[in-house]
Order: sequence, then C-alpha cells, then structure tokens
Amino acid sequence: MITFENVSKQFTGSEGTFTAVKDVSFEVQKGDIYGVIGFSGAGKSTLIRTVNLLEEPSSGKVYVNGRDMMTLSADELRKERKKIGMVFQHFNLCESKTVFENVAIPLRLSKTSKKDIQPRVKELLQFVGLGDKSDHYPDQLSGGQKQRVGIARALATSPEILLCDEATSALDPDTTQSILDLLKRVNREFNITILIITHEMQVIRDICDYVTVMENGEMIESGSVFDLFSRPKAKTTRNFVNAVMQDQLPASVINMIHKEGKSNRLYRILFEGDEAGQPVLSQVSKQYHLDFNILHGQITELQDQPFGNLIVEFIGEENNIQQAVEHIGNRLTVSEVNINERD
Amino acid sequence: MREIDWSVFWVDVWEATLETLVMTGFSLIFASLLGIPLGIALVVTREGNLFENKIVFQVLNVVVNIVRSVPFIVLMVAIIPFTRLIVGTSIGTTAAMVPLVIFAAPFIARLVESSLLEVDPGVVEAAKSMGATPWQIIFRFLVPEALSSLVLNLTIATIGLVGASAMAGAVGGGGLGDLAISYGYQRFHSDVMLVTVILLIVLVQLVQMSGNRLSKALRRR
Repeated sequence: MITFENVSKQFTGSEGTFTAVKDVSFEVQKGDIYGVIGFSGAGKSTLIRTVNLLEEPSSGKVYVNGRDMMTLSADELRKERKKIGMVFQHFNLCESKTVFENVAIPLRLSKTSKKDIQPRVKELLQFVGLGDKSDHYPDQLSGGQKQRVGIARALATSPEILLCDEATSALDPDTTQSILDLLKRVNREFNITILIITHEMQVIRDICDYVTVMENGEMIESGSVFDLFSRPKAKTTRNFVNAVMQDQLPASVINMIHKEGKSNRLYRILFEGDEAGQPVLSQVSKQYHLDFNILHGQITELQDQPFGNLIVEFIGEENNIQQAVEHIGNRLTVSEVNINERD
Repeated sequence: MREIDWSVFWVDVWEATLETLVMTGFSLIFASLLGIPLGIALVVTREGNLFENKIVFQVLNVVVNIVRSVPFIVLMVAIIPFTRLIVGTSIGTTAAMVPLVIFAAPFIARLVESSLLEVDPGVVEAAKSMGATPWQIIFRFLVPEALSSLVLNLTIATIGLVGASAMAGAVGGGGLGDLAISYGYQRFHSDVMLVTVILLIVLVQLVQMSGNRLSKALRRR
C-alpha cells in the first residue's frame, strides 16, 4: 500500500546540511495500522510527509498503491492526495468555519454536489461522535473533539490511507485512549490503512500491528508489535517498551531483597499468546516442590493477544529450581535476572 | 474678519462632509482593488510559499516600500502630471482620489500581507493534504481564515484615508480638510476649525466602531 524505498531527506540551511531522514525502507500492507515511533527530531514527521509529498524526498522513492509519487503531475498529485487523509497533532482546523463546514471542505474542493454533502457530513459526524456539534466553531470544542473533527474531515473523501501525524500528542491520556479507539474503528470498519507516527509507546501498544523505531533519521528496529515488545533489541526500543511495560524490578523491591539477604534465584518469564493462559507456575511448583513468589509483573494485550511479563522468585532446592526452569523454558521464554546488574 | 453666516455655512459643511465621504469611500474601493491582490501576491510569492518567486516578490516589495516612503503631501504634488493623465484635471475631489489611491494601495497591501501571514501554516498544510489547488488554498483557506483580521486592518486604512483626504483639501481637493484650511486657518475662524475637527473625530469613531463590530461578527465568537 505504501512503500518507502531508501528514502532520505536533507534540509539545507544557513548552518549547513541537516539530514532529517536517512535511507529509510519499509512497507505498509493494506489494512494494517503501522506505527513509526521515535523521539522528537528523529525524522518521523518528515518521513510521514513524504507519503503525500508535503515533503519531497531528497533521494529514494515513495510508492503509494504502486505509483511513484514523484513522477506525478501537479494535477495527478492532487488527485492522489484526495485518496490519502491526514490528521495533525494540532488539528489544523479552519477556525472561521463551523464543524460542519470543516468536514465539508474536502467535499467542496472536489465539487461534490450540495445534496450529497449534507448526508455525508452528517454520517461522518455521527461516526466520530459529534452528531450534535455540527454548528459549533472549533474554539468551542475540547482538544479531543477537535481531533474528531480532524478525523471526520480526513475521512470525508473516503480515502484508502490515513496518515496520522502525532494525532494524540496534544491530548490528555483519557482523550488519547478514546481517539485511539476511534482510529481502530476507522481501520476495522472502513478497512483504511493507517500510518501513524508518535513518540508515545502506548499508541503503538494499543492499536498498531507493525512498528518501526526511528532514531536520528534512521530506522533502528522494525517488526510486528508483538515481537518488538517481547524481544526488543536496540537500547532505544527497550526504553520505549519500558515506558509502557515495566520489566525492570522497582528499586523498592530490590531494596527489600537486599535487606532480607536472600540469595534465591530470580527469573523473568514471558507469557505470550496461547501459552499465557496455562497455569505453568502452579504446575512446576507442585511437580518440583517449590514455592514461588511473584515480585513484579504486568499482563497486557498486544495485537489482540495476551502478553505477560513476570519476575518470579523460586524458593526450594537448587536442583529442583534448575529442573523447573528447564521445564518452563520448553514452553515459555525464561531468563535469570541478576539484580546487581542493571541495564 | 467678518462674522460667518451660519445658515449658509451649514450647507457648506454638509457638502464638505459628503465630499470627504465620497473621496474616502471611492479611494478605499479602488485602493483595495489594487492593494488586496498586491498583499496576497506579497504573501504567496514569498520563499517557500504557494507561488514562490524571488524576482516578483522583490520587485513588489521594493515598489511598495518606495511608494510608502513618500509623504502624502509630497506624493500628491509629485504625481500631478499622472493625475491629469487619468482624470483630466489636477484640482477637485475626483483629482484628489488619484493620489489617495496611489497612497493607500501599498499601505493596504502591507496590511493584507500581515493579516495573511498570521494564518496558521498548519491550515495551509491541511489544505495541501486535501489536494486543494493553490487558488483554492488562497480563496478557501487563507482569505476566510484572515477575514476578521483583514477587516480590522482595512479599518486602519480607512482612517488613514480620512486623514489623507483632509490633506488633499489643502490643494483644492474639497472636503472637510479644505473647509478647515480655507475658513478656519486662512480666515481665522477658529469656530469653523472646531466644527470640522469635531466632524472628523465623529467620522473616525464611526469607522472604527463599525470595523470592530464587523470584525467581531466575522470571528463569530
């Protein structure tokens, strides 16, 4: 649906050349929600703008639906842009127009007849939950409501692709969640492919299928959200994952362990997919006559699959612990945790 | 110094007021017809804008600055040949409108420019992402978003024109300025001077008040 092929973008200013995006290649499949995460200045905003050529790549190619965007005439480019909706961090609504008129603009630009505009805008406002705000002006709305108008506007021309540029970054956590739910509905109900850039790992965790991590203009890691969360490789990726999936022992627990002078072994166990439903701990506890103590953990859902991460202390005979760990290792991912060494 | 016959004089005042209104009104219309497109051009030919064109921008920029640096009273005299060419005479209300338009158009262009530059660039980006043509971006996004501020700025221009039209009176342009100079100053009737000044004050207040109201109505809240 969207293919980035060795995309680079340089900006030349008075202080020399700055490379915002460096040799980025990945593909977004039809129907997916694809996330690009990175800190501010990582080049992700520039990257998403190359899709509808709000930024022209300095080198490399961007294909949308197999068409090389750079080869299009100005008129063809405008036609393609109508098939690509875009939602912005600061909403970018027309303050002088009502909610209705804001959503109607793309239709008016395409010379849609008046009698078709009315029902279409009504339908879109219903969909985003603003059916009663039709005659309001943007400054009468909350941030979340403004973004809903932004989404309705982006959907007006029934695009195949929705680009979200930090769509939730200006919103509070509750509102973020409701906008994410809305984006998920957009994806499911209309089968619209979504490319979303963000610096919030929550966004990736809650709605994305695939993710690319960017740093200093480069892709540092890419894959399914499940893989990235369960086995992050790069340090930046681990930091992002830790932001929403605390997999380090909190200091208070470490202090407690040190105080008690315990030398028992700690293990990190990852529960993924179907195996997450198995009573593994209680099985090994019975079989190997061990006690276990869950020190820390979190269970969440990634791409509609359960995913858990527990740090467990086993108490019992050394030999039995070894066997128990081997037993668990056959089905789940388990690794020893050394509390004296932190990364 | 003779006493003024007020019953006759009020008719003169009424005529002078009408002349001022006509001069200001028509000058405003013609100056806007020149100045608004010029102001839009100053924005869209800028670096990184819709119709980026360094040469056009620089030429317009310099021309606007040159005209704006000439004081109105000098401009009025300096372009007398041009005024004659356009309206066939250099004296009277119609003749005064030529320098008024030349004076106000670049001023309006600058005011329009500043109003349009206030528009959130994000709105333009959103417009582009919708596949709007450059003309659609100007007339369906930039201008409507700037409208409230444009009205306030045009109010400033109108008041500038009221002042300039009074100056035009000094060279036989008619209007309240003419009345004030010829009766109030040259014939030492300070009461006439007072009447014209009060009328000018009232006129300016009315213009500003209507401008504020209209601008507020356009901002809708």
